[in-house]
Amino acid sequence: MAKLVQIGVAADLLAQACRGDEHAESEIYAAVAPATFGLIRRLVGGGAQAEDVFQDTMMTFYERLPSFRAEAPIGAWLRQIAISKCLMYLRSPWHRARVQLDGGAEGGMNAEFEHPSQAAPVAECLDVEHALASLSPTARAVVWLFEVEGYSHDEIGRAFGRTASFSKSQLARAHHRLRAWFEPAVEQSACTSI
Amino acid sequence: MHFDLEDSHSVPEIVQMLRHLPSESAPPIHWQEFKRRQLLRRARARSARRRQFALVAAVAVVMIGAVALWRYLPPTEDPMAQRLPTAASPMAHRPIVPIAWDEAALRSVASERWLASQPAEPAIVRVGTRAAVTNLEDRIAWADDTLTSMRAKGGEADRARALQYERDRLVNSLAQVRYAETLAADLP
Repeated sequence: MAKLVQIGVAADLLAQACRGDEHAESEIYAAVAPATFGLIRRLVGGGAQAEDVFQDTMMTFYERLPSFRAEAPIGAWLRQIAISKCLMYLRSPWHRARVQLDGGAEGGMNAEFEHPSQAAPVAECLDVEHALASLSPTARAVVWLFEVEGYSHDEIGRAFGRTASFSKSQLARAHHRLRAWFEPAVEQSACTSI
Repeated sequence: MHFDLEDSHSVPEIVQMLRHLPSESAPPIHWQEFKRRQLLRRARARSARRRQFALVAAVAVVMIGAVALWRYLPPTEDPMAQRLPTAASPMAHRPIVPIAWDEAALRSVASERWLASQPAEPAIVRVGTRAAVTNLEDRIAWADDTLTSMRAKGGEADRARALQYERDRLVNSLAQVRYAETLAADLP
């Protein structure tokens, strides 16, 4: 599976899409949409929010496509748009209010993930998707951007409108939480691998 | 609560697992559905822009009406009483209306005809202009009453003439505000 940042499209296809050719646009969509939605799901979580952010991202992508200068793969350019949209969503007052209603910013997304060692079966303990979902949206985004997308603390701090210390602190807390999630399973060494 | 940052590097396995998570997910909508939503959203955005423009235009029209009203209305609380000369005051012997008497009267007649053709209230009632309209209508009614009683008594021709002029101005102002309301109501 290709990472979004590595996805490129042929120059002629891109030129056709820039001219408004719908067939070319649909081909580009087929190439980039799965990786884009995968990234958005990691940052925002699943559900209707991810769908909204995805649609917003793709709309912005097509609107700005004529201004793409092809200095990097188109996936890298689209990744910037997607991450920017995700962070805008995470910073939005609507999202913050929703998180508070769901049980607090540091409480994670789902109540069932609150205490994995007690509530979740052992097989689920190694489910890294669940572990990631147990993090607060902000911490999840910081972990993903730093560990997987290769962002620096400075870049993450800037993206959130905060300092690098904010990113470091969020990452440290997230690591602590992930370690706590996996500790019982690691000790037993009986869980299925991913 | 403090976490040791160095300690966080003891989770490389977890990080490796994160990096090996699938990077793709099936998109929630296929291309045709995306295109349909895109067109719908663009149409909504255009409609919102039009509504915004109409709102700005309506506010501008109402403001122009209000400015016109402010220009024509005297600033004091009881302007009629202050502007009308009494028999004892020196104003009684001076011409009160120096300019465009006939023009104002003619305009007033035309305005009254136009006002009579309008419904009692506009389709969309705006609080700001409605208060001004009510105020103007009250003043016109007061002027009509005073003129009637003056004519019944006889005399005070200058004063009646000044009051008639004042009434014409009020009718013109009322017509302007009602016209502004009509324009604002016609906007989409």
